[in-house]
Amino acid sequence: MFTKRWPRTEKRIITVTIDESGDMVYLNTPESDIFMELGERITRRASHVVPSPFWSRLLFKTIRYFVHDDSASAHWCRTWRGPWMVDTTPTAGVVLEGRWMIRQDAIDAEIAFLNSWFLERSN
Amino acid sequence: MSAYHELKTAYKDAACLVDALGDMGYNEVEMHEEAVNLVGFLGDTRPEKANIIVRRKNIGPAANDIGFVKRADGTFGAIISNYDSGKHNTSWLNGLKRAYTEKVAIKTAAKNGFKYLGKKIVAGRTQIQWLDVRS
Repeated sequence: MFTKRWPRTEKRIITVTIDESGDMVYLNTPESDIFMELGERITRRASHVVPSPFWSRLLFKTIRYFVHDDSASAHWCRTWRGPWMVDTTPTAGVVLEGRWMIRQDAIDAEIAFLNSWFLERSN
Repeated sequence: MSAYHELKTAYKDAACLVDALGDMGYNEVEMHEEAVNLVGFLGDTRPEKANIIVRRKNIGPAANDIGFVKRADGTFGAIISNYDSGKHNTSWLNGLKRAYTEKVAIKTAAKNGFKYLGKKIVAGRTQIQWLDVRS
């Protein structure tokens, strides 16, 4: 059975940002569930890691639209060779400049960028 | 990794709330299992009751007590008179909430076996990191 993979370099690091009004923002990881009881939680899309070439991206999104996140097809998509890109349109609104041949490296960059953005973004 | 959580912290942990009040300058805080009446600036007993109370003598010469009452859902709600809401305004309440959230997050992480790595503060926001050393 496929088990969802989590970021390699930071998978055991939990980062929480407390904003000006005292509320918490943090990325969704199995570890971060410990904070669930502290208040009312809303989950939102942060970003997408997708293939950089247009046709690969289109195929990737089409497959992912129709299959469950834990399916064999979704897993297969994650094994594709890069380049991968990070699209943070739902949060920061930008596509990161870098391209990564290994998907996990793109995810690592995504995590680092989002945690930095949660801390330093303007209101 | 493509989702994130926004969590609106509620005051549920009395000890962390008392600690947070200490951070805000109130080191003498009463805790009561059963809510008791607050006292007004004239020494009069007010109808409002609270479980966590900062007495007026610790606030200022013309102040009323401020308190936090435990509600049916287990969360604490602030009781601050109109007069005292000048000093204990939104900015003060946000500061209290930030202090509380930091304390309760650190406490929760420690209880779950996470190792505290450190924190950084940027423009009113605090970021804390832990290492999951379980297993």
